[in-house]
Amino acid sequence: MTKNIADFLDQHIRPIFDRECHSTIVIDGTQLMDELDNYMQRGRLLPSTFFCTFDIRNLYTMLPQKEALDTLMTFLQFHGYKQIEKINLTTIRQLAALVLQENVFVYGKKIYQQILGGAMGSSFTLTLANIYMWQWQKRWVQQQQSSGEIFRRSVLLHPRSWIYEDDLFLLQIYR
Amino acid sequence: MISSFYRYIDDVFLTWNGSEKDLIAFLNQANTWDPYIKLDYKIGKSLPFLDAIFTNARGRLETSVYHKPTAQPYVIPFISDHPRHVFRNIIQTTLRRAVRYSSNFPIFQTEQRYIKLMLLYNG
Repeated sequence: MTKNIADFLDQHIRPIFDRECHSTIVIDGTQLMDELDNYMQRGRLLPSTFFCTFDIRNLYTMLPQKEALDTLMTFLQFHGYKQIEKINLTTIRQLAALVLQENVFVYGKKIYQQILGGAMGSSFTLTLANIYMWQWQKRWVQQQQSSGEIFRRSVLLHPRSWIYEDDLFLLQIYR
Repeated sequence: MISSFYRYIDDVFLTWNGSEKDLIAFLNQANTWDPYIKLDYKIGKSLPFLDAIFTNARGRLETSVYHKPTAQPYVIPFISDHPRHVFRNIIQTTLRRAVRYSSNFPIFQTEQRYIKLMLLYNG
């Protein structure tokens, strides 16, 4: 039963995420190649530039449930959404909570409830994870800002493109 | 200082124009922001990401196909009873990816050899 709710939420919230966050999201290797090639063409790739990759450990099963729901609300409000398909945000949160928190399964002779993370088989878990990461990513911006350096550089290069607190800023600097 | 940042679900690729020491310090700090979000990082001039390897060769970008060490060069065996177009597609897609991902001809040739061996291995 909750699958239909999960699908409904995913159907309506995923496009919002895709639209608002496409600039720092990668969909496959080819896209990253094009972006980096562009970056190099503009003379931004220096011999001293380091690459860094990192992997978040067990993202889906580590998502803190209450915080993920709070972040979902923050995300929607931040982008100006007061309702989804005429359903207000409070109800959306309740629906999401139902999908995320009321996850029960039987193993052996016991009944278990999932208290951390989202269901691996749910498409909504992916969208929720992406939204949680959107929030986490913003710290990268804030930390860089407080060190002062990148802010000065961006003002020098593309002052028009500096957008604080939006995850567009990192690419905008070099567009 | 980060100059670009890209994320695929839980994998991130970023470029850094500063000292390695500063980057490590920054990553270690990032690991403390959220008790649920812990990252394992790799830093270098040549790194794999998704299914490609990205190399910074003295300011020039080089790319090639990445084969995960733990992945066997296994595709559907030729003798398997799949419709014929499946086998044609395997060859087409692996070659197309080799062309798309290889930033120069020698790299492409290496990948071509790999594909040839893989196809022979699978009959």
